[in-house]
Amino acid sequence: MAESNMATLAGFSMQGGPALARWTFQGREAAQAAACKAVGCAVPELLRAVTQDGVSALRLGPYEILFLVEPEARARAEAAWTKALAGIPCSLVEVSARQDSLVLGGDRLEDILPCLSPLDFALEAFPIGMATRTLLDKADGVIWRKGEQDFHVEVWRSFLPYAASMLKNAAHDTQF
Amino acid sequence: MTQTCRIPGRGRVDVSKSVTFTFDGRSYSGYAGDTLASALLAHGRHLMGRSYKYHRPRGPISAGSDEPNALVGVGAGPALHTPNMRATQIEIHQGLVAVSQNRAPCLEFDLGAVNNLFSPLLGAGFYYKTFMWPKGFWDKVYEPIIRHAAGLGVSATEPDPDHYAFRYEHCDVLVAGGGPAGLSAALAAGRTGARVILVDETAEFGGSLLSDRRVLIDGKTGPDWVADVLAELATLPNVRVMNRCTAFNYGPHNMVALCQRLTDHLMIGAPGRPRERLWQVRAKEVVLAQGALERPMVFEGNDRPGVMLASAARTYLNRYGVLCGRKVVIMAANDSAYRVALDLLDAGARVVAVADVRPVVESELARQCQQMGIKVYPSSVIQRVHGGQRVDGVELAPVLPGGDVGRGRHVSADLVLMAGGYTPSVHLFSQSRGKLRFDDRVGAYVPGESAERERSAGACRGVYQLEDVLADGVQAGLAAAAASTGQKGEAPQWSVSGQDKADVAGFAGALPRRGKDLHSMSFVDFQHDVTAKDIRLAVREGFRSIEHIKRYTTTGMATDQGKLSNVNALGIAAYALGAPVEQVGLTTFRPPFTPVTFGTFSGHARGDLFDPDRRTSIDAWARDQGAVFEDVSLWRRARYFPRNGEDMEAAVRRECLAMRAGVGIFDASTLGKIEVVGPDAATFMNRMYVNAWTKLGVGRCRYGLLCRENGFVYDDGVVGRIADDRFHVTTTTGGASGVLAMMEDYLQTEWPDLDVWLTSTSEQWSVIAVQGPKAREVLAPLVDGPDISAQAMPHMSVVEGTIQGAPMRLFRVSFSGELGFEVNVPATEGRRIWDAIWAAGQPFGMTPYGTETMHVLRAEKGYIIVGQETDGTATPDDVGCGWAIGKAKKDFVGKRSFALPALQAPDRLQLVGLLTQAPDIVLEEGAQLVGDPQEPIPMHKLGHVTSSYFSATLGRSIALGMVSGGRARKGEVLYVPMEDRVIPVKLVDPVFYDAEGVRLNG
Amino acid sequence: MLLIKCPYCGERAEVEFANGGEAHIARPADPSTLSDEEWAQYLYMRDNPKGLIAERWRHAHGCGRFFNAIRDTRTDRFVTTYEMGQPRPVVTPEQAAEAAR
Repeated sequence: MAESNMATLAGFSMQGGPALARWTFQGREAAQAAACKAVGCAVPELLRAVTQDGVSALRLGPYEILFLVEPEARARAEAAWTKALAGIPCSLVEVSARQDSLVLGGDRLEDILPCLSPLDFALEAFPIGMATRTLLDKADGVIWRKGEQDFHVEVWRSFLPYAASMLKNAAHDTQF
Repeated sequence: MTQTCRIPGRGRVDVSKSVTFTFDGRSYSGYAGDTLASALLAHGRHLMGRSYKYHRPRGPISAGSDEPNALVGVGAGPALHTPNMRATQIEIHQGLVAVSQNRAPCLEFDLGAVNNLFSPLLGAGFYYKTFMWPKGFWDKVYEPIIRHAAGLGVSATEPDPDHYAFRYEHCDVLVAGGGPAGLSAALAAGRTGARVILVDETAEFGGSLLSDRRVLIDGKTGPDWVADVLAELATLPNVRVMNRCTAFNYGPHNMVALCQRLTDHLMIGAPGRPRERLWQVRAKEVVLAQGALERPMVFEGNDRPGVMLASAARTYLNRYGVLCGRKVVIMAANDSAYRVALDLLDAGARVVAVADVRPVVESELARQCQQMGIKVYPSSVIQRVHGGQRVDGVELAPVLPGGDVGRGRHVSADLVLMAGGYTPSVHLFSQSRGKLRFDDRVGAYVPGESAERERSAGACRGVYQLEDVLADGVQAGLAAAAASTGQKGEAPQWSVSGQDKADVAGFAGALPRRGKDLHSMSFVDFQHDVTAKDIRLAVREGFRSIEHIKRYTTTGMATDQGKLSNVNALGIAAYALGAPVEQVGLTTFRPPFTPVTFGTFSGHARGDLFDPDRRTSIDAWARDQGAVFEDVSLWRRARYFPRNGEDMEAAVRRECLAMRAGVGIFDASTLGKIEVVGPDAATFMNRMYVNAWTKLGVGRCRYGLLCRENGFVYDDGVVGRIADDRFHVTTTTGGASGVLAMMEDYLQTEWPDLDVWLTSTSEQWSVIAVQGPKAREVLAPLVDGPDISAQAMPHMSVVEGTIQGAPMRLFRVSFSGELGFEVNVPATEGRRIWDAIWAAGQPFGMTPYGTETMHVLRAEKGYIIVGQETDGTATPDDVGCGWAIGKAKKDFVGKRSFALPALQAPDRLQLVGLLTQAPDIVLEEGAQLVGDPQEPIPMHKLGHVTSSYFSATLGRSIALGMVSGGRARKGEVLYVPMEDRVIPVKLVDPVFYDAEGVRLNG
Repeated sequence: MLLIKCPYCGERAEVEFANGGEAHIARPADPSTLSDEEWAQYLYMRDNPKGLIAERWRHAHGCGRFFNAIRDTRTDRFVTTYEMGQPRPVVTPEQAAEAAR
């Protein structure tokens, strides 16, 4: 997968994302609070991400949080959740292998991402820290803006080659 | 060939850059900046095409995108040819290849012109009245001839080698139209800081300013003012300006589609660049600045080459430096005709006469014309045009005080211009569902009540005087900016001098004629060859609504969407109906504004990127083994693994036998998987599936059947209970997203209080099926833990553990009927574990098998496949799965429907096995079953074949089918009537192999 | 392409959503007490108004949540969107007139 996910053009870079463990968490307010507290972060606002000590929490919906966990923090997070969520109705499902990521950089991303998604990627409309599920043409993806020119994109494993190809085409086409 | 009609020193083309191109195989030269039309006109050529129905010789009547006649094909070769492009819009480039259309053998001599002789028979609606007798002639004679003659242009016959781009965009203000109104709107809005997009369909901004030599804005010429505005817009980072970009569709909620043309104007060979780009722009506010179109006038022969719009002749002269004729007659209804006359005179043409339909002609311009020796005839009309492939004269006649038309007299001319007045261009407004209103002041339809957040500015709303147009654009731009961002801005102002007084006069309808309409070739819709006579005929035949008149005559339905014809058609219809124009109304303008290339709509969705090509972690291994693949939903799955040149049949036989004798390995990763988690997980499963789940112990599996509320089977799959509050639910490959969507629907909208949540895990797990009597022997040494012996893991159980260090959920399940396991490991480990199992399986002769073998194996066991045995109308009982229903459950999705009489009827289609009497015959899937092969047609269908294979295990063919009352018919013989023979089959139990399940429980 | 206001995510393009048919049709609490006709009514009969409709949408390629909307089927204007589980809101004559425009 690595090679086909790499691309560099003027104003655009794409590479495969870092190794991460992933969990999809679903539950009501109290459960969300417990899950986030366990890993040391506040419950993010809707469509926002917070990062603390190697754990990023992306609030993709009112009852859904995607946890992206750096490998070093994995064991600690798992243990903390097991303890904190015992007896609390919720769902914590590991999806580390279900999806993988692309890291996008460059100053042309606000023209490239709209080739795949109908969202407005101008900074005012898609601020740093915003994370949301959206379309990547015929695939789904989660787009998380970590910096002005820094996007982290999560895609289900089998859709990733398609998403990467479409991004490469978009990066090429938007030069003209 | 020399450019005899090029006037040196005129126009904006770049005479330092000569361009050579071909038209109909002949070489011509023009200049950079020419259109195909202007370049051909420079050579004195007006004849550029043949009309659609009558094959009449045609030349351009306009200079822009409203052109209906000069439709040509561009691009050499079977892959690049694009038909029906307007010569007035094609920018010539070195090496351009263009051809005329709809003529054989050539433009000058076209056999199709015979249609013109039959024109009295070919009026509106003639299709419905002719070709009806003799009855048999339609199929054999009329239809083939019509099919061959019909259509316009020749399409490409090979795939388009170009690629096309796509993007969404957001902005505060979208300005559609780059003439004076649009430019001033974009400038005013852009200066406030709003995100502005300005587009124009042509290569050069400026619109009407580019044809006007006299007007000055703040002392600058029109083009210089345009250049200054563009220069300032280029400095504003919040403004995007795009030329060659047509706004072609106004979609709901202010989403406007743009087609941006990127390379057609360049020399052939801009490799790697997208040819066109489709933009879908969501604008907070829109400014429509589409301008106005001059109207042709309707008189006999108004379609001859050399008859054009007066404004077009002016554009060709002032913008392209081309004089379209030397002996000019103008038919006027508007004072702008006189400016055109003066411009042509100044370029060396002789303006022989201006016939004005109005009785009183008093404008300053008309006086100037007369002073220059041009004869002006008020109350006069053109009766007819003379000439075949080029105009050579007209018949002018006076309109007498009573309204009758007097005797005509002949006047020679090689150019006849029509100045029928201006029609505000309201296409995009109409597409936006805006309500048009008839404005008496300008005698035209203008935008009335808006439906979307937009406003019109300039000529497209009936504002024609340039200083008013500029102010109108500014106001529209500021209003749009304020409405979208809240920012107010300053209104720039300019002083305008040298402009003519704008005249709103005009004529709509057919010019009065002397005598009866015997043979009427007075064209209203040039592209569809619709005449004034056709419209009157429609009204006479009882079509009184403009919607019916339009469709019966096809006026306004061509690719120009009535740009030059709608208002005249309306005028003629209103007159024939005896109703005011406002009462008759206009029809809706349909997108696209001008035709758009198919490729532009596809973008990158073609070839490999038409759909995501989904592959499992094991796909590469299968590819290396030479597997033949098939598409299952978006997934690529190995269908069979041929060895030594086997065909599918031979491979499948070998795979089946090897698997049942020893062990096979199969990639089942594409199956859908849903993790159902929460204290109410079992409750939820009970409500959704037909089965009872409460008592399913942790570590046990059950075959789950999911119905819709209508009682019909929707999906199936093995479900494992991982914990009290956690189920691992599997679905069919194609059903995964549908099942999850259905579950979420009930959970969120019916039972939101349940404490249970759903997560798709289809891609979290690779699933490696290891099936066959040796399966356990292969796996056991690889599993780190737990114990997978027959005692520890009975059939239909699931355990968690690890295999070669990878986390594992191991299911003991079988779709094959042999001892079987499904090894679930995280997809990141899938290939590594597959390789390990494959290696471990070698001593046992492990055989990989694909979906085809999988299908045969399960059919031998009578296991259904949803979508094969079921078709959305089969109940669980129909397919012999009534046993799966939890009898004690009070309610679940679909249960109530089972009690409906129709779902209880004994003659329902039921699952049976089918054995052909001749064991080598393999039935065709879908074949029908009847009781009496001698029954006369139509035969009474008793059932159909759903799955059919040759079973190597049984050494004969087997099939599954759905037969009316099938279970009660076991033992009966039914018949499959095929084209060439009748095949007798015996109905049997659907389980062909190991009915006791001995091998499963090994 | 419609612009739809998801109660959770804000305005998003129609292509991110899946329409879910008529709203406020509760699954009968005890289907076994319904006659065949009543059950068929629940299964199949849906309103198709020329005018305001209360309908369900799911933000399928976004937050994944269902919600309800009131839309005028003639003009495709939305009057409002509201969370699943909320009662159908009252539409004022002014709102209805604006949606019908």
